[in-house]
Amino acid sequence: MKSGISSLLLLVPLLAQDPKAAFDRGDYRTAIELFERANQARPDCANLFYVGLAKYRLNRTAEALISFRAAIQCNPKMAAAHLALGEANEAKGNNSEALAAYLDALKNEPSHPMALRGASNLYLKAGLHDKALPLLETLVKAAPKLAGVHADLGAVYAASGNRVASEAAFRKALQLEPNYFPALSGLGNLLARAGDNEVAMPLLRKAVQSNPNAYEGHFLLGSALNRLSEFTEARAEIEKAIQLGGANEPQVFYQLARACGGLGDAAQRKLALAKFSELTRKEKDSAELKRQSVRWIDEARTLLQNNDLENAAKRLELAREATPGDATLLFRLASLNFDLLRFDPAREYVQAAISISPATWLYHYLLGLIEKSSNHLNEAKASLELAVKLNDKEGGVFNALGEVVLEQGDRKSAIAYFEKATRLSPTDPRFRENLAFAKR
Amino acid sequence: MKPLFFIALTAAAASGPFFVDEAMQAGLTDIFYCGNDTRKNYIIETLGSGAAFIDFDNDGLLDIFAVTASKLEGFPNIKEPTNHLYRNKGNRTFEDVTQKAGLARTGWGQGVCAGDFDNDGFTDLYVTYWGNDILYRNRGNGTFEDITPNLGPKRWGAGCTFVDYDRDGKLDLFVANYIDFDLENTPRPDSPKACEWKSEKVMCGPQGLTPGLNRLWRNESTPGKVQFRDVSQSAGIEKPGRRFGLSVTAMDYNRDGWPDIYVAADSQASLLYRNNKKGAFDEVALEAGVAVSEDGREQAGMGTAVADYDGDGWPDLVKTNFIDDLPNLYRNNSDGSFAEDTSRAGLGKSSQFLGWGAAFLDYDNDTWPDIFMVNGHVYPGLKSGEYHQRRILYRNLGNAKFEDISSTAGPAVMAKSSARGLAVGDYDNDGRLDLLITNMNDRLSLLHNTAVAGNSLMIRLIGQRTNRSAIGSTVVVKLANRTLTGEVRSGSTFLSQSDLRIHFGLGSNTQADSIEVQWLGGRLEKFGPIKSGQLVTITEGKGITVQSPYSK
Repeated sequence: MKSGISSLLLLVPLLAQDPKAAFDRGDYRTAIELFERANQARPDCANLFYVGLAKYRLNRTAEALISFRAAIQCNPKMAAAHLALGEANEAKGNNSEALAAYLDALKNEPSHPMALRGASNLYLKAGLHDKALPLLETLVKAAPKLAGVHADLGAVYAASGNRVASEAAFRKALQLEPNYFPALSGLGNLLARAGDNEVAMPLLRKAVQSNPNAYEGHFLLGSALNRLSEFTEARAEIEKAIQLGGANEPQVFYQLARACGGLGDAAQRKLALAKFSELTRKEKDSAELKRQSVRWIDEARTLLQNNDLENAAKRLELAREATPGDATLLFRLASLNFDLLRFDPAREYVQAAISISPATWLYHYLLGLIEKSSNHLNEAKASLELAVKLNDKEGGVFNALGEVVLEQGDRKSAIAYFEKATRLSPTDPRFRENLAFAKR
Repeated sequence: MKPLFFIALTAAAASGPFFVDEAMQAGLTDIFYCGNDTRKNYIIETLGSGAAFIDFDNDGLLDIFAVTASKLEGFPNIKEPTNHLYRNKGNRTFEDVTQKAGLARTGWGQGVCAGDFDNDGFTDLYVTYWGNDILYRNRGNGTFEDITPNLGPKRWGAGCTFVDYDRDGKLDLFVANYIDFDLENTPRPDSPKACEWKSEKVMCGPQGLTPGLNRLWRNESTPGKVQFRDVSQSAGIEKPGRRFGLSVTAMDYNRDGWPDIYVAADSQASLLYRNNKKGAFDEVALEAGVAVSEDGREQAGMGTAVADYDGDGWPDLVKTNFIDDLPNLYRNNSDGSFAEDTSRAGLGKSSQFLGWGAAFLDYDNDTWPDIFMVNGHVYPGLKSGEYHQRRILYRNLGNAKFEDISSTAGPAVMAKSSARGLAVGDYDNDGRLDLLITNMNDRLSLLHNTAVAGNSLMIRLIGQRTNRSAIGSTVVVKLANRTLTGEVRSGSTFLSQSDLRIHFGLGSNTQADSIEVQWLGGRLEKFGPIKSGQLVTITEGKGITVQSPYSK
């Protein structure tokens, strides 16, 4: 997806000619240096953005995310930075943060095609067709020549039972790109399900020809052949689908069972059904684990309200085991352990959260507080400075930073930080007291 | 192949309105409630309730028993509604005999099934509730008595069926329990933990709630003493675990002479309990091909119906599902398994309906069972999805394909409501099947069939060694060009009970060349030829005991 980000360059005013030249040469290390230097000389939000792009090109995704976030912090209306943040998050597998970034981009530019595409794709991936629909309907007006958008619309209409609109959208996609695989397979499947096999079968066969390595095409063709009781060919197609990546999809094995049943191969049918059951059970167990995780978090919240921090932490730990990649949950666990003065586990949890979501200021803020409480003042300072870089609107972060540098003996910087904290939160007595203390 | 003459006849039948809603004229004016009609805060407000076509007084006319649920906010301005029993007066009108019959019960009623469980010759009732189900014994004098045994803890009963699973001549009882529902701890749409459907706040469930457990009650009555024993565990009913069970259909799907049981489950794989002939069942839905959709997805199964729609002598199955999904038409492969034929049969074109009651009925008596479905959403007032939906009549074209002819069937079929229950029966004994529909927070619909139809025959079985209602017995009618099969069935469809008599459309045939009755008790009896246009009563071991011509 990096080519997508490159195209964002067109959206940004070319304010830094020399570093830009380095960037265009592909000399990203030099470009980073030059952009950073330029920014020190004359701060400009675009510099931060380019630094992010260059880091992203160097596969330093975590750093790139921080730079993009810093660019947004500098200029919240920079749609290109929101988009880049979305793409980089998506590349890192942080779909919820990616979606939030695309939606932020759309707040600034509601018809931005790339943001619409990014957000609608993520909604489709999550099965949230109703949320994807308005975005795609806007996108199709903004980019009427994109076959992919029409095909996505076709899929969304099909999922919501609007067969007529779905068929029209798929056909439009095929007008634009006659061999477009998602439209061929989508329309073929739609018509096969409706029993219109004369039209459906050639489409499904063409889909397989257009993309012979996609398991979905073989699966849909095999399913349609099963409906027509053409079991020998159905079985061959389904077995291809399994070879090509459908081996973890329960539905593929269900179709295999149908084909084997139709061929009178009871033993293979039984095996296929067993595999179907196994994969279905796995899916269910995973879904149930997620639901259970939510229940544990709810219980933890109630326990916290009753000041039972120990048991709340136990519930959250259970939830973490169930959903290990959840940065928010890791952050909650870190917070709780911090409150329980267990700094080592707190640090581990928040660092794990940061590794998933490196550009979230709150995580760095908490890490700064943990390090400060552990008397690791240099580490604390670094984390808090990063938190400020990502969000300079929180008085608490400046106050903490002031406390750290004051302990390090840098009274002048401490006063500056406390003054900033007081400006941001004029009513907070702690910040005023700290300022007064530093000035004494 | 249909004879040419009959094609012309039925083409005429399909050309004009032929189902007419006569509920108001018939005196069926009561409202049947289920929760709030503008906003459903809890899933208990969504199932509606069922109704039954039964002849409770044995006068040869179908009466109507209709169940009502209730409202969580109560009824501050009107008297709390009760279930109703309407006696058929014989002139296509009914009189309300609820009070006299002792059936005026309030509560959160759901479903009903019928059968003569005490073999006294009068049809008894089982009514499911969110709360305590009720077993009513028909005293035979126009009144019923509540003889509910201890059924254990409160449950949310949904579909039920009387079924003599051990063929001992006494009707046992199977009940699907939907959810172990906890009103106090289930989030409402206006609570912070509200559930969402298509980005709108809605009531929660069934996913995320605790499914119920199906129950099988063995009839261990002795003369003068009715008693049922819970055999769910020993009979293998509990083995598949909890399910969001809704409708229940008993059928001998493998034709081994022993009743099997199909349970449509909501948001989960459906269940097929195969009778092992030793007093227990094996759950075989997945291997039989009726657990999930043809794509291998679990579906939100609602209503079910059984008939031999393709004329091969084996019972096929239809199931309604949630919106954005298709119904299932499962064709019996005659080898213990089914093949899903939904798309090929022409039922794959409409996924905009949320289906409930389903029934096979040969509305035009052309010998081919057609399909009727009633629909309605569970979420009122949403931007997406119509709450009130029309009904669907699929005409069986005789070539394993169906055609949606709802628009020509009349305004009563196209009428929109939030319908739930569906029962089929010939309430005016004219040889054409009529329809009874329950609509949430509305009156009943009574769709009188006025189709220009073919000939027909109706058969009532009375068991002797077999249970008196003859439930589970099958009838095979041989015509010059077709062989038709029917089974006496309790429950099925959705929360409702259809006529226990078996109706056969004979097309242009003026007689059934022969009739074979396979009694559940084991006896096989043959009769015929028998002329069309009449109701024939056959008593086990005694032959044809009554023949009544249809009403004009």
